[in-house]
Amino acid sequence: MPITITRHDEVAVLRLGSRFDAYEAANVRQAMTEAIDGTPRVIVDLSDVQFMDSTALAILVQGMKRCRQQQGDLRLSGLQQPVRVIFDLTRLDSAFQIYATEAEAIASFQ
Amino acid sequence: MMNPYDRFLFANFVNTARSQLLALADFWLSIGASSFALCDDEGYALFHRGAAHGWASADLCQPLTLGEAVLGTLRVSLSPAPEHDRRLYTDALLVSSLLQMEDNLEQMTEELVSSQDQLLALYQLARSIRGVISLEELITKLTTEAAKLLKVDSACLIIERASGLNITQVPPHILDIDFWATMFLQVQQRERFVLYNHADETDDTGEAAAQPAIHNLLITPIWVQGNLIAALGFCNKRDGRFSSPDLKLARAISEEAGVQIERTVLHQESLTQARLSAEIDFAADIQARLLPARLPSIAGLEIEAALTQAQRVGGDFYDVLPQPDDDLIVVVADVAGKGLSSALLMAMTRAVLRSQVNLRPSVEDVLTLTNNDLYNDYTEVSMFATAFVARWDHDRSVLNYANAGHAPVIYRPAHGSARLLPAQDLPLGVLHGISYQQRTLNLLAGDVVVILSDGFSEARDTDGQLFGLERLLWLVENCAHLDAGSIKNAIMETIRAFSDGHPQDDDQTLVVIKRPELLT
Repeated sequence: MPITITRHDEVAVLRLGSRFDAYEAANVRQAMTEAIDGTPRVIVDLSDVQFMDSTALAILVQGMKRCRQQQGDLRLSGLQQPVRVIFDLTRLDSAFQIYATEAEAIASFQ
Repeated sequence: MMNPYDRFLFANFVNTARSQLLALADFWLSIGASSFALCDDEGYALFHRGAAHGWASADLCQPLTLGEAVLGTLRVSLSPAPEHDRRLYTDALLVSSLLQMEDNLEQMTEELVSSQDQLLALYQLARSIRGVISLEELITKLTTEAAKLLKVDSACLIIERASGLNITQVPPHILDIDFWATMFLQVQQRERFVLYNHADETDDTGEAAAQPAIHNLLITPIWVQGNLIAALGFCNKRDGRFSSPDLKLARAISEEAGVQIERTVLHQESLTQARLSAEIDFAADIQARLLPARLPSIAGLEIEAALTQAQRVGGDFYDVLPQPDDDLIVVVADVAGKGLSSALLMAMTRAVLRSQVNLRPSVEDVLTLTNNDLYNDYTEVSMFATAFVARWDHDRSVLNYANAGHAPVIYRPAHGSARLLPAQDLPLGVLHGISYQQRTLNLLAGDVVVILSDGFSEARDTDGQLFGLERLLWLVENCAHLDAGSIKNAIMETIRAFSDGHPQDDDQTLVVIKRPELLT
C-alpha cells in the first residue's frame, strides 16, 4: 500500500502501508522529510501497519526529534496490537503522544 | 527530381551499357528512324544516334524504370505504328532490367566496401582499446577513435553514472556540455539514434539547428546490460553529411563501445566489491574481538551467551565484566538497524558503557550517563540503542538491573512460569536528560533470566510468520530446567529450525543467567 500525506490546516498526516521495516525505510524516511518540511506538526497514522522493526522505530524517533526542534511534534495514531506491543516493550510509548484515531491526534494539535 | 544517386547510376549505366545501346540504335536507324536517344527525366539526352536534337520531338517514347521510379525515357523519331510501339516497349523493358542489374551490382559493391570499412574500423577500435581496464581511459580512447573512424570534427561519449552524466568530448570544449546532455535525453526518450543533416529539409532535432557551430550531427545510443545508459555523438562530418554507411558504422562502434563499457564497469565493480568485502571482513574480525573471548566462571551462577549476526557485522553486542567480590556486570545491547552503520555505533556504545561501568557502581547511573554522553551522536545519525545492564551481587544473590527499552527479557522463577520483565525506561538516544531506574531481582536456586534481542521474536519462517513473544516464553518455560548452556543451545536450535530457509533479518543475541539448583 502506498504512503500518503494529507494536510489538515497546519497538521500533516502520514499514513503508512502495511509493512514498515528496513526494506521500506527509504520510502518512509523520504515521505517523513517531505511532511516535516511542510510543517513540524505531523501525525503518523499506523492503522495499516502490522509490523515494525527497530529501523522503523528509529525513523519515528528521528522524525519526532526534528519536529520538536522546530517547536512542533510528531504524534502517532491507530496503533494495532502487534505494533502496540513493540512500543510497550521498548517503552517508546512514553516518548510519543499516542492517540486511538487520526481525528483525535489532529484534535490534539488544535 | 532524380536523386543524386540515381543520376550517378544512370550516367554510369550509359557508359557500361554503351555496346548494347549502340546495337539498339543501329536497329532503329536501319529501319528508317531519324534518331534514337536515351534521355533523363528532364528530357536531356545522355546517349543518342542519328539526327541531332531529333529526340526533342520524337514520335515514339517509352519510360525507363528502376523499381517504382521513372529515371528517363527511350525515344525514337519514326512514324508511329503499333509494331514500332511494341518493339520500343520491349527495348525499354530490356534497358530497365539492365539498369536494375547495374543498381544491384552498385549496391553490392557499396555494401562490400562499407562492410570492409566497418570491419577495418572495428579492428582498429579493438586494437586501440585492447588491455584498457580503467573506465576513464576507455572513455577517452573510444571517443578519440570514434571521431577518427567517422571522419568528424569532434566526437562525444556520454555515460550516465550514479554521480550524474559523464560527458567526454574530443577535442574538448567544442560544444556546450548542456547541449550534449539535452541530446542524450532525446536519444533516451526515442530509444534510437538522432540524426541532423543541416542541408536536409527535415531536421531531426531543433536543438542542433539552433547551434550555429553544428553543420551535421549524429548521436547513437549505447546499451549496457540492456539499459540505454550511454551514447556516442558525432559532430560535423568532414566530407559533407552523414550517409547510411556512416550510420551503420556509428552503430557498430556504439555496439562495441557498449560491450567494452560493460566489461570495464564490471571489472571495476568487482575490484571495488573485493576491496569493500575485505574491509568488512576486517571490521567483522574487530567486532568479534569486542565480544568476551570467554565468559568468567563464578561460583553459584551459570552464565552463557551467544550472538549470530544477520550480516557480517551488526549492531548487537553483549559484555560480561567480572567485578570484585565475585560480582559481575552483564550488558546486552542492540543498536537499531543493521550492517556497518550499526556496527560503528555498537563499538562506540560498548566503549561508553564500559567506561561508565568502571566509574559508577549503580546500573541506573550507568544508563543515565551513557544516554547523556551519546544522545547527540545518536541524534546526528538518526539512531538509538536499547540496552540492558545488570550487576550480579554475589553476596546478596540479587540481580540489580536497569533496562533502556531492551526486549525481550524473560524471567522464569523456579517455582513459577516464564514472564516478560518489562523495560522501565526509554532506549538510549531518544530523549536527553532522563533518569533511568534500577530494579532488583532476588535470584533463587533454579531461577532463570534470559536476555534476548528482538532478532529472536522477529525471526520468520518460510511463510513469513513471526516466531513471536508467546512462543519465546513457552520455549524458555520448557527448557528452564536445563543448565544455562543447554537453555542457550535449545533456544538457538529452535530458532534456527523455525526460520530454516528464511534469511535471518536481524542480529540475534542472548545471555542466559541461571542460579543452579541446589544439589541434594
